[in-house]
Formats: sequence, structure tokens, C-alpha cells
Amino acid sequence: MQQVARTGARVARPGRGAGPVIVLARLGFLTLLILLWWLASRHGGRNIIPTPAATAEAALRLWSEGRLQTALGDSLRVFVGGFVAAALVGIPLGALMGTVRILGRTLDVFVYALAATPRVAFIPLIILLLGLGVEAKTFIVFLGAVMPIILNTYAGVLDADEELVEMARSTGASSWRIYGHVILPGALPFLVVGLRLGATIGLINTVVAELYTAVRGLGGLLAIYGNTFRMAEYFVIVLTLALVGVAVTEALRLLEARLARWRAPAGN
Amino acid sequence: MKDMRAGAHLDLREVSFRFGGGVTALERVSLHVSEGEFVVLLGPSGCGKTTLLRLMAGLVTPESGRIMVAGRPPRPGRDAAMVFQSFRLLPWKTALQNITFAIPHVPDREARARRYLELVGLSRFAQSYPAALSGGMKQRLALARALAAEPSILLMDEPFASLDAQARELMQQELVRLLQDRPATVVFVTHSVDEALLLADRIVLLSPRPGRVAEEIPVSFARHGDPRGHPEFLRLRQHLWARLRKMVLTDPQSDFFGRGRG
Ligand SMILES: Nc1ncnc2c1ncn2[C@@H]1O[C@H](COP(=O)(O)OP(=O)(O)O)[C@@H](O)[C@H]1O
Ligand SMILES: [Mg+2]
Repeated sequence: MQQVARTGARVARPGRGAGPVIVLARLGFLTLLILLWWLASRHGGRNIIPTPAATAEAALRLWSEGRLQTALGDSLRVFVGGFVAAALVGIPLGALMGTVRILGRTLDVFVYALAATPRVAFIPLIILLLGLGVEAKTFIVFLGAVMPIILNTYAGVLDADEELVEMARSTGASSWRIYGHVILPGALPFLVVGLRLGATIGLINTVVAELYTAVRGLGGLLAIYGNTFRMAEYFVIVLTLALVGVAVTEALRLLEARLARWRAPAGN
Repeated sequence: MKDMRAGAHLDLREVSFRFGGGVTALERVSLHVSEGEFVVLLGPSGCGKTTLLRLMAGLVTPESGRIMVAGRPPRPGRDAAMVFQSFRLLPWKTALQNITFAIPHVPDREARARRYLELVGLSRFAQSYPAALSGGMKQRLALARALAAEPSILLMDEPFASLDAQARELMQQELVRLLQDRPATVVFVTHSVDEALLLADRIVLLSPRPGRVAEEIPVSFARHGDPRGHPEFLRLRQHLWARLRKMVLTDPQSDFFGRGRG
């Protein structure tokens, strides 16, 4: 009970899924945004802000030409590759730092320092080492996503409930068993926060990487259309990026809600 | 059930324990608990009751002295099972899983877990998470988890202290009933005089800073009907209260230090 209240207070409860009222309200707000957009395009000069209709047209054209899919595929490959690698490295590393105290105390300062340095600063170095291709892009995403994952996993393991650990010890449980059944599940809320932050930073870094290295993917199209003032196409890419952001965040929210079923006070 | 032992004996000789910060929690404590005996450790808070149980469970080792449980040094999870004041249930496991977690080496652990859930009246809640259970139900689950290990020694640290008066009394009766079916040696910590008198075969009174055995009192009327009107009960109650009051009033660390008038 204490445990629930404690983690519940620190980490926002997972969304309970949007009810019908919320869905309607969101649709209403979307309509309002499109209306504002339309008004802006009417009065803000057609060459700067394209109309919603022109944007939709551009979207259809980009889709039928296959450009949008190709760019989306390129970007997603870079993003997913970098993010999954960040999770595979960040979770065990953070867990290890939280468990082996000497290691944690030694490394955490460096991780904090690295996390505070703008990752853009490393891009020239990464290009020199890995070139301009997918490897460099994926690595830039990895570097951005891995820090919050390490730090949150670390914090979650450090926050382990000593009383529950002692209870587990009193049953004769091995360290591994305590790790798997007590410490890691207790760290899960932190871990999910780390993954969510990592995904957001990873997405930003995907676009940044595509702008700074070989110009490809959604970031590449953004640069091309932005520089040539093809604003309808440019808007299509911006909206696609926003949709990807929503999809990734929602997927992680679903994961979180699934993992935290036990918090709902209604059994089952 | 298979070979039912009536518990195991437990022997502490001149046991001292000091915390890292230099706090001497226990000093030369000697105590013998016989097979099947129900011993209550009674004392004001801070007198080392919890520390004593953790030593008996093998969770910590004494600085000096010797502890023997069933003739050997204690090891967590072998002879003793522990029930904690704050339940200590794993919130991410169901009631059933909380029990099976404690008995991983039992081949039919799920069937056994269900049996003990039934025994404490929680069958309907096998699939519930602790967040969905009331305080009394949580403590019954914690008790079932300890009993499911079928330990020869049950170590209970103020297990009913956080329950309300009714739930507490019902749990005391429940414990007595469960122990009739499955005898075990019990070391039960409380700071409630009434609870001690109701449950104990013997009360071990501890005094604080450093924790020592102040007095041992055999209690003859344990668990036969309601003894609360019995003259002997009232006499012991008064005696224990007087001793506890004196300890608290003369303990410089207590909130009530020096407040006694006589
Ligand atoms: N982790 C700890 N570090 C230092 N001192 C402690 C620690 N835990 C308990 N103590 C001290 O040891 C003494 C005995 O504690 P404890 O066994 O918990 O007493 P009780 O259970 O009787 O209240 C107390 O004075 C307490 O302040
Ligand atoms: Mg205590």
C-alpha cells in the first residue's frame, strides 16, 4: 500500500485510455486548429502558409510518388535502430550501476556530464568516425536516447524498497531472484519514464541527424522543401513527424498501462 | 500433512548487536525458546525487538554471542518464516503469486498457496493485487505467505499493530486457531501488554538502550477462553504496565523522559 502510493505519487499514473468525451473534445480541438490554419493561410500570405487543401493535395502527391513512404521508412529505420540499441544498452547499464554501488558512484558523474552536453556537439566527430550513412545517424539517435534510459533505470534500482528486499531475503531468495521479482519490477515506473524521454529525444535526434549528415528521410525532405520554399510539401513533412511522435508516445503509454495493471485497485 | 514437527527450539547465548553508527541495539541477550512454545517479546519501542527477530531469522549476524536455531546457525528461509508489521507484499504480484514467490522450491506450490489462501479466508481474492485488499486482508495474506512455507519457527514483528482494534482481535483469534492445526514455535513481538498476555506462553520483557532481557514471565492461562477478567490477568497487566511506564519515563531518548511524578 505504501509502495503503491509512493511510486504512484512520483510518476504520473498511466493513462486510462481516452473516454468518448475526450475523443470528441480532441476532434473538436483538431477542427479548431484546422480552422485557424485555414484563416492563417488566407490572411498570412499564400506563399508562406499553404492552405489545408493544398497541403492535403501535396500529401497525396508525395504518397503516390512513393517519396513519403521511402522517407518515412528511412527515418523509422534510423529511429527504431537507435532507440532499441539505447534500450538494450541503457537498461542493463543503468541496472548494473544501481546494483554495483562502486560502479554507479564512479560512472554517474560522467553520465550526468554527457547527458548535459548538447549531443549536436558530437556530430562532427561522429561523422569523422562513422561517415554520413545510416550508421552515423543511428548512433546519433542512440546517443541521445541512451542517457535518460540509463539515468532513470539507475534511479529506479537505487530506489528499491529495502523492506521488500528484506522480506524476499527472509524467504531465502537468491540475489537473482530478488533482482527479478523485487528490484526490477519496482524500477519499472522509472524505466518507462526513461524510455519515453529516450523516445522523444531519439525522434528529435533522428531529424537532426538527417539534417547534418547525408540528407535523407523525413529530416532530409524537411531541409529540401524548406530551402526551396515548397511550403505545402514542407507542411506535409512536419505533420508526418508530429504523427510519428504521437504514435510512439501512445505505444509507450499502452506499454506502461499494461505493465502497471497491478496499480488499479480492482483486482484482475 | 507430512511429518508435523511441533516447531524447533531456538537458543540465544550472550548475543550483542551494534549498528554501523555505533548504536548498541542489544547487549548480552540470552534466551531459550522451546519447541512449540509461544514467546512474546514485549518492550518499549527502540529496545531491540525487531533487531532480535532479524538475528533469529539470520538476516543479520551478531557482533558477539551465539544463535542456534534447531541446533544450527540460522539461515534465511530455512527454519523460520517472518511476518512483518507493514505486510511487505509485492504490489505487482497477485495474492496467489505473493505466496508462491515465498516457496519457489515446493513442487506443488500453487496448490499449496491456494490451500493457505483458503485457510485465511482469501480464496476469492487469489487473483487480486494487494492494492485491492483491506488492511486486515493484507495481513492475513502476509500470514498465509509465512505459514505456506510450513516453517518450524514463526517470527512475527508487531504483525497486528497497524490494524484497527476489531481486526486486531479477530486476527489474534485466527492466529491461535491456525496454530492449533499447524503447531510451530512462535516468537511474537508486540508493545501491547494485552496482546502479550492474550497470546503468550511466556512473556520476555525487554528494556531499552541497550536492549536487554529485563524479566521473563510465564503466563499460565494462554488461549483458554477470554482471560481478560481473570484476577491473575489483571495483576500481570498492572505489573507489566508499571514496568513499561518506568522504562519509558527513565529513557532519555523517550518523548516522555522525566515526565513521571512518582
Ligand atoms: N539501521 C539502523 N541504524 C542504526 N540504528 C538503528 C537502526 N535500526 C534500528 N536502530 C536502533 O537500534 C535500536 C533497536 O531498534 P529496533 O530493533 O528496531 O527496536 P524495536 O523493534 O524494539 O523498536 C533503536 O535504538 C534504534 O534506534
Ligand atoms: Mg520494531
